[in-house]
Amino acid sequence: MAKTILIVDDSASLRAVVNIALTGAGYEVIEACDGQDALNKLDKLAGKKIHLMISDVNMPIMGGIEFVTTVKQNPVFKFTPIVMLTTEGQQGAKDKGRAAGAKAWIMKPFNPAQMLDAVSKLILP
Amino acid sequence: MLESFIEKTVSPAVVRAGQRLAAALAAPSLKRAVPMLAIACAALPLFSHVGVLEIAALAGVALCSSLAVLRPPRVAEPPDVGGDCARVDAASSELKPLLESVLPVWLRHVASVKSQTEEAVTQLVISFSSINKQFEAAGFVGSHGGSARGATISLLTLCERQLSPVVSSMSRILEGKATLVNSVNSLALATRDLREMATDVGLIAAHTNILAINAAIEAAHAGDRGRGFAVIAKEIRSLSQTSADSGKRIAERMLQVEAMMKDTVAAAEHAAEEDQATIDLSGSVVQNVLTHVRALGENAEAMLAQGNIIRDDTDNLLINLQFQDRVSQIISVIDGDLLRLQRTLQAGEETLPAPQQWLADLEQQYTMNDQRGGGGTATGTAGATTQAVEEVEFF
Repeated sequence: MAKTILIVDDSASLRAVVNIALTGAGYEVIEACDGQDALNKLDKLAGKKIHLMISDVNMPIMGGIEFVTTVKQNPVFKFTPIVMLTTEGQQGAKDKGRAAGAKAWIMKPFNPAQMLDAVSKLILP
Repeated sequence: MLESFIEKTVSPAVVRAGQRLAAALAAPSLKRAVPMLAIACAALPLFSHVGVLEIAALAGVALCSSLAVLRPPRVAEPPDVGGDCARVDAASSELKPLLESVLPVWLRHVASVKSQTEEAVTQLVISFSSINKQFEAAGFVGSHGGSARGATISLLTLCERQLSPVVSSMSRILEGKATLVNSVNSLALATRDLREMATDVGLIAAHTNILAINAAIEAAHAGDRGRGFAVIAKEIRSLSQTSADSGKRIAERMLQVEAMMKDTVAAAEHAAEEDQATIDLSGSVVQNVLTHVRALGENAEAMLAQGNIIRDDTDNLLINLQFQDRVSQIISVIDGDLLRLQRTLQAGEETLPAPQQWLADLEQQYTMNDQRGGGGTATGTAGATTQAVEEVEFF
């Protein structure tokens, strides 16, 4: 059974790059275009196990740090690993991501192979 | 008040002259000398030979000079400055409605650019990913993979492993046949020896016959006493005849055997020559096949290398196409700033924020180091879109 990964990014082209890489590696992918959209989709998918989340930081409506903070308050996703995938390289932003509960920080542009490697290391069994 | 006092007390011609002098004295280089000149003027009445009018004029000049020092001269502003200010004011008042009209259009165009590039780049990403999948299906796994190369080498090794023993086996068969031919040759030599021995038997029988004849003659000379010996001589003669016949038959038979052996050896030698030719041909064919397989392998390697280069290029394209996200973020910041400008204008405040404050607020919206100009100021350039891929940072 394929493991499920949620991608949260406001850029459709980035979502396509991530989606193609993940589906090519055998993962099932759910896409959301911002933090709020992701929370809505998680609500609708209640009961479905999400094995890992990949989120951008700077997004309209709800940014990545706020999304991670919110989703980590949900006991269901407390232990779900979250990878930040962003153009933001400021140490302050990374510290906020780590404090919110993110497990890894990948800078854009990224190498899909590197991302898959990070995913395989962090994803829930 | 002092000025009106002078105007009332001194004739207009003197006042104008004083003003021209004051203007001249207002020059920065002369300003320092004016108080000294005023003091000198004040001392003029001490000269008894100078007329009253002239003294009054000089006093007026001194006072005007003092005025020129104490306040900015009216001549400091060019006469047309007021007109320029009016034009600037008019332009400012016209700029606001112009920006209010233009800004929504700019915002719409910026949104359109963002949307179109995102759509196009997404399509490019999908297309290049599809190309990559086709490459992968064809065995091109990029410079980091090596399975296809291994497959080619395995094929070559398999061919060499399977075909080389065939030639070796045939060579061994030929060697076995050569041994057989040598044995047959040895047998032929032995047969010739036997034939010679059979001839010797014939010669012995002939000699025995002669001896038996001589014995019979001698027995006849002996008379009755030699009759018994004559019987023996007769029997010996008969045996020698039989031996001679047997030796002759053996020799004939051995001759036949020898001829058969010769034919066998000839046939075996001919077969060995044919076998050698066959083995040589087989070896040549096998070597040919291996050469072709090796060439095929080399071609496959070259094709694989080229395919992997293309695969790597498409992989890099998928990384470089991520520029769209960076461009989109830069455009979003510009978009947001245009919107901020529009709202500020709509708010109708008399004074706009100071440029430095505006730029500082703009800088707060930056999300990338290259927007910040590598940690520089708000006026930093957007920087290059091609960025090196950084390592994943695990927390």
